[in-house]
Amino acid sequence: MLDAKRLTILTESAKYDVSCSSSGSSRSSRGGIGNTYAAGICHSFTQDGRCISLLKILLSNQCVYDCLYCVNRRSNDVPRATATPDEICQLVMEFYKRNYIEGLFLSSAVFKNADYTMELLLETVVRLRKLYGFRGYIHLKGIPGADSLLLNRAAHYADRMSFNIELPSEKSLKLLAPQKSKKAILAPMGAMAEEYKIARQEKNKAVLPAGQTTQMIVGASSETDGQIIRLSQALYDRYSLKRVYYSSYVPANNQTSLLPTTPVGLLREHRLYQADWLLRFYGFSAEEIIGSEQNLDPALDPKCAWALRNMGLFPVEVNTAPPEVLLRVPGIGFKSASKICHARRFSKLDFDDLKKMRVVLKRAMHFITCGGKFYGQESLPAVRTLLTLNEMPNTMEQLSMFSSPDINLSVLGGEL
Amino acid sequence: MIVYKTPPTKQGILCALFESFTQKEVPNVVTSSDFQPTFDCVVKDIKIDQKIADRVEKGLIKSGGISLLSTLFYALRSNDGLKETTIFSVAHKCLVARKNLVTNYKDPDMINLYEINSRIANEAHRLKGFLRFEKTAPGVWYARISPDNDIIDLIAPHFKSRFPNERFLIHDLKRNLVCMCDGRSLKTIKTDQALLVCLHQDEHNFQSLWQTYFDHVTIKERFNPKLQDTSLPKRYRKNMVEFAPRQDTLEFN
Ligand code: SF4
Repeated sequence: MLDAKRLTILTESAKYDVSCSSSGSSRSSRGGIGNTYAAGICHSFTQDGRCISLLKILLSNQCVYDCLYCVNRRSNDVPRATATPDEICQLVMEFYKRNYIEGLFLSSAVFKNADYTMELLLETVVRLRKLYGFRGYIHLKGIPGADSLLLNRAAHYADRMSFNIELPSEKSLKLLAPQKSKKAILAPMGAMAEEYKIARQEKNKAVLPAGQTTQMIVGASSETDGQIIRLSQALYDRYSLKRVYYSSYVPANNQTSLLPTTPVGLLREHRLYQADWLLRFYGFSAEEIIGSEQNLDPALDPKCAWALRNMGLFPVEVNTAPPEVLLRVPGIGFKSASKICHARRFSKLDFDDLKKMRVVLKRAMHFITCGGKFYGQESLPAVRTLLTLNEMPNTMEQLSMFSSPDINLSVLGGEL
Repeated sequence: MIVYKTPPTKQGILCALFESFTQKEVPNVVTSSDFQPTFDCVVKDIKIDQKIADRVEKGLIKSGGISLLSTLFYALRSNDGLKETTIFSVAHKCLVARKNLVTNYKDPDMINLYEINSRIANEAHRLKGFLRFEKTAPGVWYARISPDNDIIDLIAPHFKSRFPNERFLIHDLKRNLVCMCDGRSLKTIKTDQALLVCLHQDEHNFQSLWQTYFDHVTIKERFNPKLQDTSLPKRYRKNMVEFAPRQDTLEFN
């Protein structure tokens, strides 16, 4: 059994991977123990406000690579530990039965070499599924450079796999993660996307039911928000990723002038998540979100910023605008849009009705009319100032929601 | 002012509706709790009659379909003091209009019902994650909960299908309800007795491993307890082992 000391080491070295969601898969416990729930479930929240859904752990933190931004890099003097596949399985089962977790998020440093590491990861998930009959959630990190046969087999046991892009450009990779290349990361992502597509065509839902995700570190290198958002859009389009995670860089005991010494503000990460949300759910393109700017406006949420650049499209009439148009109004999210569409079937809505329905009018009023009446400000600079002022006290509140997983994000969607 | 007193049940509300239609009056308040009457206030105790309840139920189905019934009575699980009045008013309006009005959010009663139901659904969803089982010496799993709303029947089936063949007890400490699963079926009973729980010998070890994990997965540089409080309100923590005092003083760094 894994003891507290190794558990500590293997947790400490896994925690900077931000993805923890257990969503996207729906499977019954038939013939085993455990199931998965499409919306995902949060089991706890740590003092940094992040959700715990999966047991996020490394099989080993003994790395042969030397990526400068990473705590586990070879040249860093930290305690090292390795667990056996069976030790991980036992811990997952015991935690799962106590309802501490939805499942496992297993990753590893490159221990000896990529193939060897991937074999151990694969052995762990096969064991967990076959020997322990575990039917809960498994998110497995793919080791770039490992044999594609190993990766493909893993895809038949995991709910979700991820290959981390790590840095948003090839140049930064060369600089900060000399042993990694864009190709070594993108190739398996492409292969997985292919595997996934074929399985779906054959109606085989057992291959990666929750798809692929990736993560990039923001703020360790010099890319702009524009570059990052365009990259995300390409990843969603080309590799049918379910999700791109952005992790603001936290200095991990690095002594190099190539990396910043202070962590990136959470605000930037927050704005990127908002932009990403617009890409995935609101039908916006990278072009619309970032326009010709280099970076997102820190003072405004990206939907407001977009609306201000496109004042010609507003105001829209809440009683007649189609749902997809309502969704583009700042202050109207999925929940309010749906409430509006339902309610207006009964009778015309006025400004007070929207207030009762908890539409965020402070923002929305500049972009809508109710029964032809307009309550907002006409002048663009005035609207901008008001929106920026509104934003201030909200920001912390929203930051909190954004760092949590899907279920809370969907709540937040109501205000974005 | 007219006040109807009725038990907080489906039957109670249905009979209150009947009373209101036969007497051609609309009560200002429908409640199950003790009401302090003021001098200008008429309090009526609603008589319960299953036949009448069935008739009104049929009428509701005719007006708004089965989904109207489930939306209305889902709200009975709420701890909101105005739930009976809200359910009553929505039902009354649907019966008068002969249609399902629950999404007519212009009407404050409809918004209230929507919000009461969302709070119940959100809490049930949260507790599917926050509930903690402990292994007892005989191998039965035991969980304590103290939810705001009466949601035991909404969460127990989730655990039954997740852990087939396991025997477990979910204990609502606020309402003295225990939901039992023998591995096949669920049964909820009311009990005022304290349950004596004797833990399995392994239990302490796993609880402390979980605490270790919980402590070390935090990113200290991003310390943000306010955010933690919004996502996991303090009232849920008393039943969660990761918020219990640490028993081992041994620390590894
Ligand atoms: S490969 Fe690089 S990022 Fe991964 S554990 Fe090793 S040093 Fe860290």
